[in-house]
Amino acid sequence: MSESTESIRNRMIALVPRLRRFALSLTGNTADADDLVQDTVERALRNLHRWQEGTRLDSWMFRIAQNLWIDAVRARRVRAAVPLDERHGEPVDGVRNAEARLVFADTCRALASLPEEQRVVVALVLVDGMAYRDAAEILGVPIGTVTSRLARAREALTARVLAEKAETPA
Amino acid sequence: MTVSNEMLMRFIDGELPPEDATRIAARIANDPALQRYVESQRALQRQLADALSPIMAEPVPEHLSAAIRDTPVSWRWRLKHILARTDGRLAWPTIAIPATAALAAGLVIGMLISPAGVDQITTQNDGTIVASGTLATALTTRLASEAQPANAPRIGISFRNTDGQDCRTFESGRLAGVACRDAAQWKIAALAATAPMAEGPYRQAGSAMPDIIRDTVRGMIAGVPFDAAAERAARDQRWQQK
Repeated sequence: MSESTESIRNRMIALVPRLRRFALSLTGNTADADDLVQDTVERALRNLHRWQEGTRLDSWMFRIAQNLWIDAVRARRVRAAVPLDERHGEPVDGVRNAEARLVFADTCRALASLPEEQRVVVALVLVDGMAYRDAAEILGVPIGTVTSRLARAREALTARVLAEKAETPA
Repeated sequence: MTVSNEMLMRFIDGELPPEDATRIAARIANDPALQRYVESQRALQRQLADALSPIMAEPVPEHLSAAIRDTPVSWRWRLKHILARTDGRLAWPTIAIPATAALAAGLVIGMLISPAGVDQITTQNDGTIVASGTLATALTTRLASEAQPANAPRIGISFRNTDGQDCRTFESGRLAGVACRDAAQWKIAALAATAPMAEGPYRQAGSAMPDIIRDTVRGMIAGVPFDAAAERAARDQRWQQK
């Protein structure tokens, strides 16, 4: 028996927090992240027949989000990820105190320094906690590609974090 | 033997099979350098979580829940569900005519269709039933997305059947059916009479597909129904695709 549209909408609402975090990892700011999530849910609903019932809705929606993001980056319609605190007059949702804000800004800068393809893998595996296999399926690449992109991203991020720590006197 | 970074990474991410994970864990326990590496990776992961996970605790923004609630789902999804539904309450007591059956088609059809629709269905000498008159015109020319004139036959979905012919469902007066195009005409594959509708200004504009028509479509369709672009392309090729 097929699932009702109502039930699918409810599942999408339940997926929003994860989609927002994923989008935030890609965009580096809440406003662009929410635009991306909105585009994602609209596209998903308008193309719902393309989702194969019985397969994972979350994977399918993450794939839509990442495709939209890559398209946007290629079309240069979006800024490269700019940490929120470097922009003016925007509220910093969910990042209240100064220290958290700093961590957020550092992290976004570090993510922004990665090539797009590596950043997506970091967002899926390290941030969302997906299995390599699921990330590979979403990206349409072999698992080995996920592994090697992740290894490169980890190296770059670790080097950056260590360098920042070295610059900052304890 | 050294442990590769990739192996360590897969260990940290829980991607190793249990026996390998046990082996690596034992090596890490005996090697301070490996421990430092693993710790640096875990610290990285914690930093990512600290920076990005607070957004997870926020309530779903209203504009996002509104988008999920209000964005229409694709019509092909809706159609798939209509076709898949077997327990739907359909307002149509249906009288089916398998168009291939040898029966006194003219007589039965004469009983079924309203006077206004008499010219829409023709029985040929060889017994095949074809669309004619305004129904044939509508099947050939009209797109489902176009505004459909009152009292004219209404076109439902269009699709390709397993014989490679283009087919369309229609409603006209108290008839609903599906017709497929051969070289010269629209052959009726199934017809059903629909229940009389309540009279009045709020007469229902469209109704569910009768069981028999739905089953016929389901039995003959190849792939999915045409979307608007495919429907238009098929119409522009006069339903004679290569």
